[in-house]
Amino acid sequence: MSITAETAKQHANDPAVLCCRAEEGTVLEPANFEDPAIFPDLIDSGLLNIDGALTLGQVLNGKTKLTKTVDSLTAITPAIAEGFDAAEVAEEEVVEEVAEAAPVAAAPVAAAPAAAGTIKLHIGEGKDIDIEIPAGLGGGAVAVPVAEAAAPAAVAAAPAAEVAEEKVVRELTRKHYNITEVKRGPETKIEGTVLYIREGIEEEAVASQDLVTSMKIEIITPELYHTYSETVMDIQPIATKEDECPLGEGYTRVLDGVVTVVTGTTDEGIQIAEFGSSEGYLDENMQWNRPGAVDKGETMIKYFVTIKNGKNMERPGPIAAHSAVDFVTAEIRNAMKKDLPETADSEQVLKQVRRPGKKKIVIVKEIMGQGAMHDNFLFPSEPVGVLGARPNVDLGNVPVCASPLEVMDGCIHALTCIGPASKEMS
Amino acid sequence: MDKIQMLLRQHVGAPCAPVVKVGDKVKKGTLIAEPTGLGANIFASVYGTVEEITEDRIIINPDEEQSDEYVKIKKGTPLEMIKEAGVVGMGGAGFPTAVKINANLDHGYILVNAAECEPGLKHNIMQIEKEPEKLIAGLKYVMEIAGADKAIIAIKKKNRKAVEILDEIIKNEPAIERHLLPDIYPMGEERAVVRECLGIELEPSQLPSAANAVVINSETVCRCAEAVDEQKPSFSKNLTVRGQINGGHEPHVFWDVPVGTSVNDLIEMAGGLQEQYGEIIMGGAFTGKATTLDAPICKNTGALLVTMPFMDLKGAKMGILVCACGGNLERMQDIVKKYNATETCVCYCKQAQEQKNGTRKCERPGNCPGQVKNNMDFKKAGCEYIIIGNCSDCSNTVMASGPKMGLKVFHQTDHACRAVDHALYRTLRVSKSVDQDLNVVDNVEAE
Repeated sequence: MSITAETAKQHANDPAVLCCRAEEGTVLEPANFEDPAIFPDLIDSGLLNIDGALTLGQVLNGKTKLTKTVDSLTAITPAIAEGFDAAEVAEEEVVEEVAEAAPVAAAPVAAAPAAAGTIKLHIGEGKDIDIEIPAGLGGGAVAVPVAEAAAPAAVAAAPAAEVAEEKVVRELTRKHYNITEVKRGPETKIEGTVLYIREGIEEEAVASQDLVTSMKIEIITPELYHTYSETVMDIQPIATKEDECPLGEGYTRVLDGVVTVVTGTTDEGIQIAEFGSSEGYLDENMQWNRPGAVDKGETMIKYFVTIKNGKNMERPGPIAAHSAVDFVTAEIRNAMKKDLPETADSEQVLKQVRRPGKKKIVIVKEIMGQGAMHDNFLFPSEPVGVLGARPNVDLGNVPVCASPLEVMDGCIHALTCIGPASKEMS
Repeated sequence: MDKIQMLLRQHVGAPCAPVVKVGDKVKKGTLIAEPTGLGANIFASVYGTVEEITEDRIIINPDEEQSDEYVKIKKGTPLEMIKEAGVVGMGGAGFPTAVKINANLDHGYILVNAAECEPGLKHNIMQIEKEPEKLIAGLKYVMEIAGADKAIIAIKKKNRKAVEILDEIIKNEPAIERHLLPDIYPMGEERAVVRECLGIELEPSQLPSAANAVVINSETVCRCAEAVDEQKPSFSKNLTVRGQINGGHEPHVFWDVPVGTSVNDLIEMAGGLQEQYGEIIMGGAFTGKATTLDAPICKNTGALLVTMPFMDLKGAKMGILVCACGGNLERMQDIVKKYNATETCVCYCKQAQEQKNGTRKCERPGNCPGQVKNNMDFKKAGCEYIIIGNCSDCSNTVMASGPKMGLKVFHQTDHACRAVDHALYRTLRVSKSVDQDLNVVDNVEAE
């Protein structure tokens, strides 16, 4: 059976065998090839001879042409094709040696611009992963300041380059403010280290969303961690931008010691995202102190949102739950802008540095974009906000370039379906 | 002559409702049934008396004397007249033509489907040779109605005489071109026509309108011209009768056969059934179905094929490879039974995508996705024979591994192809692309 581009990539080092008759002059593409997974059976039964066959990686370079019309189950050999990649063979051998020498090394092997104007990344870790990005997209690619240490086993010799001045491209200052207590009060405000959330704000949050039918806010202090919770839809930091500077730059005010926890069900009690949901006692389910999870000792502002029946697996339902919670968080953000002093309890300065002559590092992160709860809001105007954000699925799940500072400043608002166990929270 | 049976559903859509009653005298062209939803008017095809009205048909007892005169439809705009005349797609699908061509294209294309792709059929090409002016006249009406700037007539290169006639007549028609197709199945599939002519590969769920085009069968275009120029209601059909018929396997092309004529009458007109035959197929060998002598033809019936007798496989194990190009599972099972084989395993071509209405459409008509996996499954299931309903390219792929594995390959159309002297669908020996210059010889073998 013909294969997809993804399967072809997985089998880049397997023999290229046509699944169907192909005519002279055909430029070969994944759909021309048989799935290597069934080769052993075919060879056993004498149907297939792969002597001298080129690999899929060699012939799927966009320019390999057949010089002869041949029938299905014919292996592509140099005798019947032209324009295939000879170099790939050598590279493959190198990679195998590397794999033997350092099987655990997960190192970028080469990041050289390929002939056709694409950046080709080859990562060898026993299994091969090839990534091609149109050159235009790589334009904004930037070095991640902390990631240098992650490439200790760089095998290919770095091209000798002149050492030039380091340049700070962007800077982000996080101003941390400690919160020791969260209370309900007549207005949303911050007094010293106490955060007050306005009483009755739940009704307004509910009214702001058609699909939301109720909301309950619980303040979970460490003594109350053994509390039953419906499925955790997201865990969010509470932060706001100063002076309307954009995400990833300027100043961000962050509340320490307190996090937002979004939970919810439908009216009749079905978990939103009944798909590996995480309802249960918080202290039994929470993987404390992990990225994206609650740190032990933090106070949770836990929102229990109910939405209309039947909307739990549809796109607008989970989005409404998130939006209702953000209605409250937005008011907290306003209080942060108004009530917090200029000087923070602590400050963290993050710099994005360009180091000419050094390797450029791009971190590729897969995020969900199926709509509903399997989605992410990208680039809200406030950290992990709703306003101004675009759902990933609406962007068409295309590659999106973000600066490392934008990521660290909350440009991804996760609408994930399951608890922090297996999928990522904001 | 048998009674004329006018089926109330001769088109895509809902059955029509009768507007005559038993005992009524009807003339050729008398409106006898009207659409109840999507559909097209149905007219009496003979002079006679309504004898019976059942749930699905109106039965007319024809008069001895039949005149060529018919009741004319009233004048109107071309679109109104085509609608009034009850024209439906004559290529087989039977979609109401007035609905299809009322397309509001944005400087789009009319693609005339003259592929005549089913083996052994001749009436489409013969009509182009005989009355090309009618095709061009109809085409101009259709272009105007649909808002098309351009028209392309898609025809197989093997039909040299018809192509030469077309080239001559469109010499002075800058808006009309012709496109030559290779002689492989299924070049007449709607989306294959779009791909070949415009280079746009449509999804199975998409209509040609997604490519800013309307695909319309060549006989349908001529019927449109008749509706507008001759005020003629659609009550007759051209068709090919061929196969195990006394006198030999040559095609019998019948012009303007009254819709509702029985299969028996047509076969008798052609010479009568030979003593030995397998089944009678109404429609083409790929997409048609077995029929009976008393069945009537419809507005969209293109052929009656009398096949060779079926071999007796004495209960041997047979696998079925269902493809969007050929019969559905039901039709394939019918043939397996007729071969007296035991159905053992069913596989589907990877590209035969099931549609919302339960039918299947090919993702890339005429371009194989590989079949060896299915063959391995058949082998594992212990099949001795397999029967396939695939296109030329896929059949070729099946043949590349099937026989080597010891599978005996039958094609769904074998018994029909043998009876119309058409090569069996097995190994492909012709190119899937042809040069658009009629005088360049491709590696195409004659039929």
